[in-house]
Amino acid sequence: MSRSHTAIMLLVAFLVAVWHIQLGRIPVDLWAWLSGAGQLPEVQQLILSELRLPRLLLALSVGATLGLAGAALQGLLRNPLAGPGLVGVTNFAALGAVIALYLGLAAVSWWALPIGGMLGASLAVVFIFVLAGRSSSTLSLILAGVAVNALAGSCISLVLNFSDNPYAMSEIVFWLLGSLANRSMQDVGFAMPFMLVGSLLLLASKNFLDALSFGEETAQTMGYRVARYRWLIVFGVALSVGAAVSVSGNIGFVGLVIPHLLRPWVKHRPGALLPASALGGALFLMLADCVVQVVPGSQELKLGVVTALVGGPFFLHLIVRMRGEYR
Amino acid sequence: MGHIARTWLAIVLWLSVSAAWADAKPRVASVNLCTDQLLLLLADHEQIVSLSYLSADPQYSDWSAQASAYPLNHASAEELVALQPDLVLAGLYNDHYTLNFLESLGISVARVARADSLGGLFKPMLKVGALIGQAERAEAMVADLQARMSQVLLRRQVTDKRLAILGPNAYTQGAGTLTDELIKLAGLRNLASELGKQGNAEYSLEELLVAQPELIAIEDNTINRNSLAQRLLQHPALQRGLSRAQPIDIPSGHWGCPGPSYVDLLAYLVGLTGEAS
Repeated sequence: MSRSHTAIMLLVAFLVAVWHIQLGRIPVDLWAWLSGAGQLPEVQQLILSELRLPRLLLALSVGATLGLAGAALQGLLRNPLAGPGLVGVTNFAALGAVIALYLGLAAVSWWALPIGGMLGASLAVVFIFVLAGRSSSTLSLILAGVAVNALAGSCISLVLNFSDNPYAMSEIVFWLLGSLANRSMQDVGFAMPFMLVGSLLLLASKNFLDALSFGEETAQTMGYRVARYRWLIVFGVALSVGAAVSVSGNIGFVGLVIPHLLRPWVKHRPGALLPASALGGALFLMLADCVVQVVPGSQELKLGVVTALVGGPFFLHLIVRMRGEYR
Repeated sequence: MGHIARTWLAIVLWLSVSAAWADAKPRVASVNLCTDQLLLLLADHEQIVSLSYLSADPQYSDWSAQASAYPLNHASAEELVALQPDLVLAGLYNDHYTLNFLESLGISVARVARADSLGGLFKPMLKVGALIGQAERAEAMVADLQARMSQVLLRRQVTDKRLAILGPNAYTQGAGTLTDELIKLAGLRNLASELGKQGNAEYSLEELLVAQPELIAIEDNTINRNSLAQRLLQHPALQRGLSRAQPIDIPSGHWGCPGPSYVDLLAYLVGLTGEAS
């Protein structure tokens, strides 16, 4: 990504972040505070630090994580449709978190929630490798994804059905569509470290993905130990996406759309696509999270609704464009 | 026929007539928590064929000990057909297919709406009383409850304390709800309706923090709290930002079904107006 592209995206991201932190039921005079003109009332400070800041931080980090994981999976599987949602990683992460929460493990220790998410995500990545194989065709990858997603979705409702908590069943909407409403700094503290470590693992495979784009053998002759890097990426995706989904629910299509949109900007280099997709994902999810807050309605819209409204048509467009491949 | 034999005959006749008289009252099954309560209050013991399983769960009902003495149902057609009641009491939201099926078998079904205003608070009680042949008992009970309500209201004191009721998911009741009417009748102010909320609504945490209510009632009596809805009630912003509000504790059974227990609830709320803040 050229320097001017990066600068534009950073600027837009900053503006969206400012918009995001302004949104809420109560007007907060940020400018007076920033310019030092006046101390904010205690309640407004609390609203900023305990409600809006965690929400902004999670929109940024979950978006970056999903974008990055999408780019990494697409690079690893050398398949432009391999977003974490489409291959079932996010749904399985949600399943892990659901098991941890509704069977009471998270009541014992809140760490159970991100750990459940990460275990679920790793299971799905392994599934996909077994089902779709290493040199996966687009078709077999998508079909494997359909199966894994269906399995995860029905297991989620099964677990919620077994729970004797009266609210469990209605919360399926959160797990399948995702939301960042009313998250706390606690949630940030639980998920952020894992998202960071996972993302660093993925970024570490930057050069390997460039080499891999010439084929597995070429990468091998260039000195990369393919098997080791493959596990590095699997582990990184499981860690970052699992932790993200455990606090945000399953927000679809970010990991599919963002790498696609940015690929021309990085001249189709899978390595350079990684940081670009992280930035793009953060920007996209912040924007989506602003949209759910300004759309009127008796209840706040779920984030996955907005991302799917963008991602669904985009996905169809991709399929039409790639139609030739299936014949 | 001797004197003793004649007396015996009279006793036997009297017993069989009174047994027939008792039989005239319908045998009733209830498939709804709130009609369970009314049935327990108004019916003779022999009249009650079955109550819903929720009534035996202390999480939802104050009358669980009494209710466990009766056969419990899960509002399924099979159970009810097997019990052969004369009448089935249901709420408005019970499964229509089940109820229509029972009616097609000749079992009468009464759908009793929950009271949704103070004016109609005792209507379900009178309705159930009439349906099960206990109209006089119901009327006497309502007169007694109304007398108790007026007694309670004598203790009401002038206050401007605002009460915020907060359930899982920050769920609350705004203007136009029975809860809202009851809070106002008790002399308190309902924060939800003052913030312009209508009917069943949700607080946003932000507006709750800014409003700083004087009284806060966290309404969550389920034992299993493993859900996001309930986790919201432990949000650090609430714990830190509402530390000045006086927490009050209302048992969930009192809210569950509008009816006799609402007089106790009113008494509890009126009691809050007398306390110095």
